Amino acid sequence: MSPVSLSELPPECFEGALAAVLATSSTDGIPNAAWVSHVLRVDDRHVALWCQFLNKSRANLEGNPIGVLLMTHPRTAQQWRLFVRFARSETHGDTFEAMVRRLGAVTSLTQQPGAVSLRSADVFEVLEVSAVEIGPDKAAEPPAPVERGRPRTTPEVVAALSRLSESVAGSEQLEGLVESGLSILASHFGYDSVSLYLLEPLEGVLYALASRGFPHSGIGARIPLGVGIVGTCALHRLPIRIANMRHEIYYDRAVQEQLARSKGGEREIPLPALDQAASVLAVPLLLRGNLFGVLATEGCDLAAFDDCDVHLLTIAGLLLAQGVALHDDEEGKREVSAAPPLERPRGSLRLRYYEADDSVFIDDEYLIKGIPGRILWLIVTLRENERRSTFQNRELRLHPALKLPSYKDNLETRLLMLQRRLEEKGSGLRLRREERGRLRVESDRNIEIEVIPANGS
Amino acid sequence: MTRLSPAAIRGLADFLALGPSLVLGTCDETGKPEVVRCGAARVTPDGRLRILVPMPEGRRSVANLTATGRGALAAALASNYRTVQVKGRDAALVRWPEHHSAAQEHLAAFGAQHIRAGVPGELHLAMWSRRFTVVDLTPEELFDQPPGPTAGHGVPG
Repeated sequence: MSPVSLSELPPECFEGALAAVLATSSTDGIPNAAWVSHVLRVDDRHVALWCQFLNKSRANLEGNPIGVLLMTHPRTAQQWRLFVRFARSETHGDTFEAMVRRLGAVTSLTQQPGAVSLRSADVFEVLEVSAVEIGPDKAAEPPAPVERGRPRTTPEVVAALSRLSESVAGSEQLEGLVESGLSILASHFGYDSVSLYLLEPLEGVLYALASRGFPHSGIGARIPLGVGIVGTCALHRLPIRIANMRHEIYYDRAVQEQLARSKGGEREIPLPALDQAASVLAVPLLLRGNLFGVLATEGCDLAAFDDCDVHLLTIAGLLLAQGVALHDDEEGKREVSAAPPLERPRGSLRLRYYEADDSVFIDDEYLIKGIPGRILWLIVTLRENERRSTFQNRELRLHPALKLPSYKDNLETRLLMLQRRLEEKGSGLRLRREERGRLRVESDRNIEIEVIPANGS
Repeated sequence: MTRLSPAAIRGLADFLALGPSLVLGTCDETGKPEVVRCGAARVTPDGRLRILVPMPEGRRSVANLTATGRGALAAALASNYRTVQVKGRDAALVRWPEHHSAAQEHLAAFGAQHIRAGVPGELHLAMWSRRFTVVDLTPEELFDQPPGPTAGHGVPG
């Protein structure tokens, strides 16, 4: 087969969906073949491999620097041989950092982050690339590349972006903005399973504000910076793309994510996640240089997302983020009228609040924790003590018990998340935004509040 | 004669029957390596490793085996990435009338592994040619290659 250049190889080959193979030889002519989970294209003449566990290959390359990589397209099975010469090991720089970030995202799913460290990024000069010649008598023709089922040509994408920006610009309510935004990501962009996380700067965690297309919404779920794909994306402020979640190293990620992020046992809400996810893409949302949140999507096909998706999801996510941020800013400036009295109670509801982590249980069922939990405890306490059902955002912002920052408190997004979490749980307690800047707490039951002090006494 | 114990040989035979992805590493007399996916591998009754090298893509691999007698077969299960590598010597081309049925059996098991791993259904059918050169090797060393820090360490026996 005639040689091809490295730049001609489809980008899907470098997404790690199907493992590559590195063959080397010792100086005394004993061959070695090792599976390689990820190959990074450094430039048009170089690739890099993780030097993590390639013990024998590394030893061979010390004496004989020539190797051959076999790479396979994850949707057509077309293969290429890359004859390479070991060039150098890098322990810092862009290539090394890119691999560290990817390794961090992967290992944080299966073990404590940092438990496996990258020794180096091994950079190889590519001497020759040739397509593997498969005979005409193979069992099947290579499958045509799988259509991804969503528009990828410019007119459709531009129309989708236009639709999203119109929706963001035209939304009166924060809830409608988020809902319609995620719906358009599915209907016009083809991202059927998406989740929007916002940073809670006071706690250093991300909260799932909204999601679409998952078995459970995960609204209110928390994930610390640096944990899992979403947390790693947020920590490094860079997109994270996984092309084959079913690789062993990603196995049982739901369980492991829970273990990694939770020390509170039942006091965690499961993250929105597809049981059969093969591909994941998470992009950071940065506003004025600060991390605002993360937008993530999942798919059941291998290598479902490419560079184009990274750009598209980032643009869409930033539109959404700016809309959400604008709502928060506007809410803080509004004054509203006063409130009607409480409705007459029928039956009772028990709300237990733990000061230690601001977690809230309603009738012994975990609801939420952290600052959203503290907000809920405060408004329910005010409702019971002052016998009124509505509250102005402004008074909550200024209330000393919440300890919100005077600038960019994200109160509206926290209230929206709380509102949706209460709706989901059907716990007999509801939040309603009657108009901008005013919140109504509804319950037809008498609320008994129990506070568990931080010292547990 | 193989240096591997009967237990190791049996374990290898069982593993190969599960339908792992198979790649054969060889090198020419100057030390230039070569690699090719393979259509099946079996352990013969006398403990030799029998490999179906597809043609034409395996042409250089077969030439290398003929020239040096040495090959390294890496086998990995797509469903859980359990991986072993067998290093062999004394390569010899053999005639094996049953190689077509062995290839079919392996293809079916390999496809099942792929489906369990979420790889698109027909992809495995296009990964290698269906004409084979059959090669026997004497297994010399067996290595466990999990994706971890013990990769490359020999399996006892």
